[in-house]
Amino acid sequence: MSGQTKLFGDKAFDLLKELERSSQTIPAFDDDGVRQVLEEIKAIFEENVAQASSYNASGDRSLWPLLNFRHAALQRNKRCLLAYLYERCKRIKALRWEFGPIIPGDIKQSLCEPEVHFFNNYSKSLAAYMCSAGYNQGLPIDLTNNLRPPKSLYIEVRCMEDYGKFELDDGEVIHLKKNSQHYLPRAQVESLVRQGILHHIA
Amino acid sequence: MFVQDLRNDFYRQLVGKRILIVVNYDIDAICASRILQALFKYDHMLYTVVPIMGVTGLKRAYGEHQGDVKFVVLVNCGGCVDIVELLQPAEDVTFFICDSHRPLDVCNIYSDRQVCILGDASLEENIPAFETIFYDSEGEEDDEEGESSDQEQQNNDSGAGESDQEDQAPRGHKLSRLERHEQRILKQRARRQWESERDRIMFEYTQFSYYGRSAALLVFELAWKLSKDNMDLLWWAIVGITEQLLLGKIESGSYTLELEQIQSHVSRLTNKTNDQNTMSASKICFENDLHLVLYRHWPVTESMRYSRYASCQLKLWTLRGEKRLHELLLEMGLPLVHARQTYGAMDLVLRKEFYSMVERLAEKYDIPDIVYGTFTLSYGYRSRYAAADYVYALLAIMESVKKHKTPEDCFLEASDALSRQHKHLLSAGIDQAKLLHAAVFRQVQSSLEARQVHSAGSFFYYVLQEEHAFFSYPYALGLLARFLLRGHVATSRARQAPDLPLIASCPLDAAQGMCLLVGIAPVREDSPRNFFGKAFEQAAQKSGVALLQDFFEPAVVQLRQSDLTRFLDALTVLLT
Amino acid sequence: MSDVEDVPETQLEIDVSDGAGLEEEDDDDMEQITAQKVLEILETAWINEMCAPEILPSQTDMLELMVSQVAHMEEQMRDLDKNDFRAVVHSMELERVRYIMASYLRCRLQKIETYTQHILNQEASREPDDKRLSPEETKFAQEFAANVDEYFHKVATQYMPNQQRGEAEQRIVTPNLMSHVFLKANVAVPAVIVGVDDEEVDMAAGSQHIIPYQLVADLIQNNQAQLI
Repeated sequence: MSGQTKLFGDKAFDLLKELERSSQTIPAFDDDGVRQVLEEIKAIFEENVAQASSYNASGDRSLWPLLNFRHAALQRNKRCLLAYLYERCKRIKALRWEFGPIIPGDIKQSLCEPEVHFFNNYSKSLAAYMCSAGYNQGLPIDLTNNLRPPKSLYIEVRCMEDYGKFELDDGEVIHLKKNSQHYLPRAQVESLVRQGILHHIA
Repeated sequence: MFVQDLRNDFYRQLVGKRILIVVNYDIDAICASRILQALFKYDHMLYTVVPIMGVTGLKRAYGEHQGDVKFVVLVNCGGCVDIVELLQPAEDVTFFICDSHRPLDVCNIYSDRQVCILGDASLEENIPAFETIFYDSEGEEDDEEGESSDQEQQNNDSGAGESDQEDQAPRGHKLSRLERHEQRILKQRARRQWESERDRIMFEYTQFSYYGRSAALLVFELAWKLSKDNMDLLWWAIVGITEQLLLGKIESGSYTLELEQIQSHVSRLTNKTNDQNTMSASKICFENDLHLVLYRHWPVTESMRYSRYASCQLKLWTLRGEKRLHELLLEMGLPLVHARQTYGAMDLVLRKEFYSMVERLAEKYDIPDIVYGTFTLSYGYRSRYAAADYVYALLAIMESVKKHKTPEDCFLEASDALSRQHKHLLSAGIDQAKLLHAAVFRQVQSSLEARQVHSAGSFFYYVLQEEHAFFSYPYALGLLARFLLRGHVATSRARQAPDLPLIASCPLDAAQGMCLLVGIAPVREDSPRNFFGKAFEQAAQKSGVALLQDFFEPAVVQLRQSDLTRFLDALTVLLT
Repeated sequence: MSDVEDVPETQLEIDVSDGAGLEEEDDDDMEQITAQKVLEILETAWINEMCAPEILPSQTDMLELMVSQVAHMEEQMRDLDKNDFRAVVHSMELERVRYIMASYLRCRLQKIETYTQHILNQEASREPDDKRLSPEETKFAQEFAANVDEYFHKVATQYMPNQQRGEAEQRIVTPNLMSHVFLKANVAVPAVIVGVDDEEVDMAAGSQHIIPYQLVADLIQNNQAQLI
């Protein structure tokens, strides 16, 4: 252990720092880092167990601070690790609100398999909740719409990419083509605005 | 068909419908479309705005967006081409054309329903009468009759001919063969005569391309009649008409007339706004201003040097001109230290007196036309812009095409820059405009020194050999050409120089070998008439050069670089 | 905060349009309660929910009423001409109501997601009549908790040494009930205990205060005061 240049918990702290500093919506899951932290936890734990048993056997009080110190390091590692996961959790949840039930391909690549699983489960229970929130009317309330207080019925939007045909509630078909500018009912295009296909011109 | 009552015959028709607005790449069009959009927003009408460049762009945009749109508004485009022929729209689609380009296509004028041109028919000049250019259907039948008597015979035998034909047919039988022959020849002769007459009329009609009223102003008047006008809309209309003035699309006489009208709008709207927040609210003022580019945002010396009018009158690209400028500044009492720093940083006293100082000395230094009436917009405590500042900034933005920035992006940016929320876009545009004008001046200076403006007898021509970051775009090339022509005329000793036009060309795209060609009317010509559109067309026919007249400005064309010499030769022959 | 600032404006508009659009509904809708009243209650609940640190009792009934009301109005709207001025006002109004409902539910979900375990524990200790979550929300909360646990387990905790796993109790996030809130008294409330040293304050009707939440939590539940 004395051979290690790094202190206990550095790796775990790095995980968090990386996540905090990344400008992406969600950075790639740091498989390696998580594994290293887990190994560190394990190593500390095993050393502690070994020394604890020798402490029990010999009653050598001088080992006591060391044991305590190791335990604290272990706790810290664990906490950092879980904080890392929890923060990712939060961001994954935000994805659901932002992009709807399907994760965009490029973001999906930075998630690990349990995370995708988590997303799907979350998405499912949210959808189930939204369906039931309509109560006996059978009308699901889409909570992911109406994210902002409505200022006007219609908004002016600019098309940022070729999207193709888009049908409004009243059957009008609008061709959304890059660089065209439209004036459309806010409620119906809100999701497109959130996906970045349309840009709301203030 | 002309639609004069915009409120009832145009706007009322559109209320509650979905509308496609197709906008040309010019500032007047942007302003007009912004006003239209504001109107449509008030009435919660869904619309789609598509910027287009040129005829092919119009065709493509309509093809893509037609969907089930029944009403299409064309802003500053489409008036000069036969819309129905070009776009092949469905029967129930109506086009409203708000186009300042002239002459209008006769098919649009005489379309009875599908194409409506916004504007006053009585303001339009010498539109050919319907009979003189369209052969009525009866005549057509006569013609057929004459061409193939066999067919006529058949018709008579079967008795299936139409009534008037039947009336004629028996008579035809009674006439002897010779007489019939004679009659036919007479008829053909009359027809031929009529045709050549028609061609003459059409040539006269289409010979010159010019501009009508600013589209933005037209639309603003609609807003006024709907009582939905406000300061912003008015300002956009002013920017629209100022563009016409600065790019020589309007005679100074009619500009002055329009000014009076706008002034009454200004005072009406100013009085309407309540007094509460007068300091921070936007305010439009009429004032006499100087034809100096962006002088409010530039040092005075720079602005003088880079302004076409002042620069050419004083020949500021020469050493003597420079001296003369210093003389002027001296007489004005403007210290060089101040003249060389940004106008905004000049002494307040000097700033206040600047206009009157220039005006006083204008006669003496032979720059009397430097004064013109215009409007300024001020809002908040700092920003103050002349309409011309807006125009130059928007022009620069529109032509700031780069690799990652498509022309459409530039268009939308220019459109954004119009609204007051996006002041940073405007100031970026002003900075770009400075670069553009400085580049124009340097180009003029070096070209004149190297004597690159050549005379072809009846016109001057100027050929840029290499692609240029600025001048590969129509407006910038136009600015350059106009500056150059004026500069050349100012230095030239030839007496007829002010009467000669200039053709400037610049390579567009080295890979494709295309170049841009712009024709500029002579200096002495005050009216915005330009005969190059037609002349280019004819020269191309004669020389067999493939010409791309895609722009809605007929005097701006594209052709192969390799064809350029041949084309210019043909043009020389044509114009002498 | 910005959401809350919109409220006065919203309320104003509602008064205007209710006169025209909702009044016909009054008779056949409910015994006494009017659509406008429902909306008022919902609005208060919404603002309270936004401002309170902990989750408040769910307004299931009111929501249900409102949802049916909105559906009904939508039905009526369909007959109106799209360009009628009234149509524009009404649909704007609907949008606002819909936003309030969605925002309210969203706010609750957010709290549920943050304080999942804490809320579930509390719910478990409450009487059936006293539950704060609607059945749907409870279901969602349980699913969510299980989901997070599963994720943690899969990625990390299963690799940890045995003794370190079971401390889920340590991970419970609890709301800070002592955080300060802005509050307006609806009725005069005498002798509210503020601070630790049993200091008392009388709140006049309509007066506004800033005070730690926990001390006034019961006032809000009894509708004697509302958060702002």
